[in-house]
Amino acid sequence: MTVFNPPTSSDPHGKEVFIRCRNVSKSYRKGKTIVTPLEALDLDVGRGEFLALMGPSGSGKTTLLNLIAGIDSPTTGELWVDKQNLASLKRGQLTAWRAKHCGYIFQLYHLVPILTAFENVELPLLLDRSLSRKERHSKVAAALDLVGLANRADHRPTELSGGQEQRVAIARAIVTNPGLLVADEPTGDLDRKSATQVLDLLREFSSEYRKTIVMVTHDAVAANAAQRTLHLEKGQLVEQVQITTSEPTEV
Amino acid sequence: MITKNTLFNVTTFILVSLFLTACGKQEESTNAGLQNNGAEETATLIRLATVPSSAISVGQARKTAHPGQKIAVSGQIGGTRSPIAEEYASFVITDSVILFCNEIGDEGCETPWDACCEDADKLAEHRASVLFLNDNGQPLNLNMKQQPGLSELDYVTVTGIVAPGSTPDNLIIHANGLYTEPTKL
Amino acid sequence: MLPISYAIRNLLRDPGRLLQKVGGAGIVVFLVFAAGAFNQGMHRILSASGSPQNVILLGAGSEESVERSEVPIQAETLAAAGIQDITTRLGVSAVSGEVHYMAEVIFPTGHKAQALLRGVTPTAFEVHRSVRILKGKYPKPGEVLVGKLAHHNLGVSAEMLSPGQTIKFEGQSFTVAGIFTAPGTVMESELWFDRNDLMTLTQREQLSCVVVRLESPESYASADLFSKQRLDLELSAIRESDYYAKLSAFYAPIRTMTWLTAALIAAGAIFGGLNMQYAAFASRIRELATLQAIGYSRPAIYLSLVEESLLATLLGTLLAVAMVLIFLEGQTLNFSMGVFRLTLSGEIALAGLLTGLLLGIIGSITPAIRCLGTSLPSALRS
Repeated sequence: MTVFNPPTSSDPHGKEVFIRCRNVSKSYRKGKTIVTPLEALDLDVGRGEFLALMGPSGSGKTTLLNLIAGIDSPTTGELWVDKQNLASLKRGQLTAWRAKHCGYIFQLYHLVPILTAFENVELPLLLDRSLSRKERHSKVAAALDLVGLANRADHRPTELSGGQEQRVAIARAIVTNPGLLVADEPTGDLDRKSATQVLDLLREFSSEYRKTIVMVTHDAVAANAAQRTLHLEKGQLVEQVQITTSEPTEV
Repeated sequence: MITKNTLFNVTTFILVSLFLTACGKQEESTNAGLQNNGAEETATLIRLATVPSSAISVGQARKTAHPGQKIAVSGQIGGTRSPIAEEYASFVITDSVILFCNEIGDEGCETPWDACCEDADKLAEHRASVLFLNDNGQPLNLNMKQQPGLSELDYVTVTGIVAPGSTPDNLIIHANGLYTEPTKL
Repeated sequence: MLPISYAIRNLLRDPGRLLQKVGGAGIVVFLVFAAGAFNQGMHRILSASGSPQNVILLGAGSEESVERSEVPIQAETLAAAGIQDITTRLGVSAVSGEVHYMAEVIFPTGHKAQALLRGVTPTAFEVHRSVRILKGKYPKPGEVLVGKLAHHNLGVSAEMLSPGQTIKFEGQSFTVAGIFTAPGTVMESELWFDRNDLMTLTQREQLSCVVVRLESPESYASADLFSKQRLDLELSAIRESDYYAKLSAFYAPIRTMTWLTAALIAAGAIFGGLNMQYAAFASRIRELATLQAIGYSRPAIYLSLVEESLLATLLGTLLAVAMVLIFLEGQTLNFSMGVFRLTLSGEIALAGLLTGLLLGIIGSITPAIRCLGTSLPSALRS
């Protein structure tokens, strides 16, 4: 087995590599058969890059997303995010890593219904004991402001539209200022207008704040918002599309 | 005063007596009243090696005994719910003609030595109280279940005198001799 | 750590379910309180009724029941002379020959009730040292001294047994001369008569028992020896504390039944609660997974779920305490031996609190483990 170094080198395009997958496989037992949604996958993502993952259902894109987000661990291979090989972390360590380094955006927002928008965004900050209440509140206010929902802080999820819920979820993902954002079909449940707002936000985080974003999507329009789109089929990367412009795509 | 020392000496004495009895070296009787060091009382309880020939039943004694009379009486320990006293050398002796609770087929009876089913008058005629005194004429402090290891329903013979307070209705024997029969089957 | 407010608000998610949980836990804890108070009350009154310093001389063969026992009247003076180490006060030996009798008394209103009657002489106060006359005086012939709680046993108001009132027994009227207390004992439920009155009216020539108070519990052997030396009196010497301990043992099956009932209901409640809790947690599997994705550890989430469950059961415990204070505390219960009060003692309160805690913890352990056992990627998709 090849041993890789942390991704300090640059990729061919001159960008600093932030995510490096080498020979990453994931398989699990389903009844009596072993399913392998990802097999010997290699992938580099640069710091601040906005990457879209496309592919048919069952192609392994969510599996890859979960591995990158530290939700799941690869069966074999190495998966470096920034300076950390996630493949070497145990469950508890992965949990702690996620809290600091990764924001997750879900298709169905996954907001806690009994908490207000403000409290939902505050949830990840409660894990950091070093923060004072005042510091937490100013961070939450800033995050909500960034997604344009400062005036909805006291609303419960049921009192918000889908687009607003997703923007609260985005605020929750960025409030700890992680280097990595992962999004699983973030526009899959939204109308076009709301989808555009969400995609604009993601582009902004990538370009303005140098957040590395990996987004799974079925939607070619959404994928267009990304700088690069990868297609997965049967656990393998089959095509790479490089989008050179950093301007928002017309939708 | 009855002291712990006294009890110790009584115990020692009984142990010695038991040993001698067991060895069969005693023909008639042993009187080994041990003197307490400067003590006020001497324990007197003589273990008899054989049954005195003059021994009579409790029933007979009830009819003939009068206070002050020398007497030897044979019977079984029982006839009441708790026939052996707790801390004094005293027990209740009853003739075997009395129907004990274990003889009426009550297997689960907790007090098989009691005679609760016997006719009260008959029981009264065949029952007497035995008490061993110390040299001061006071009841001897001794747990007879521990030393000499008496149990309810044991066959015993006691020798002594009929107590001054004894009446035809209530026979009390102030005993000094005790013979315990090997278990009868 | 998840804030406690998260657990609190989760509770309020479904008020119906919350009500069920709080009510269920409340009923179980209430039952524990009730069973505990009942058992402790009964045990306390029986153990307080017997003093280790007192010996009861009962008729041989009636060692279990003083009411059935018959003791020759001369046993009282013979015992006073024949038993060593009897307590004396102002020259009076603590020997009390008594008649215990259960019979019907009739009130002026026509109300009839079974009463525990005791025929005594003034020496009864030398033997039963906890007895104090609260109101009125010691009864003369034709009068009766009434235990403080006797009215409960007889089903009448306290006024109907206050000094000056009359009751009828065996066709004769008796005036209440006074009220006595004997805290925590069965005596408080009794009616005390002049012994001669009671013996005459019931045509008894024998006593029920002779109670002797000794200098120390160790002097019992002397009373025991007396009973063996006076076979003609047909006596059995029993420590008063042993007598009541035996009575207490007699009631043990009843006490076991109360605990068993409480335990069975608690078991049912736990199984019901487990189901409900599982349903409550299962409907939140995705939310719990999201919290993990955000960075909350499983133990932290697990703790929050247990917290949530505990909050409900402790609310139930509070409810139970309220119910006890309203419905149980201070209530008197009758049983054949007398009347006892139900009180929420420290021990019982602790038992109830522990029950509440256990219900909360046991009720949430397995549901929480099952709900958090799902793998994170699939829980996020559920």
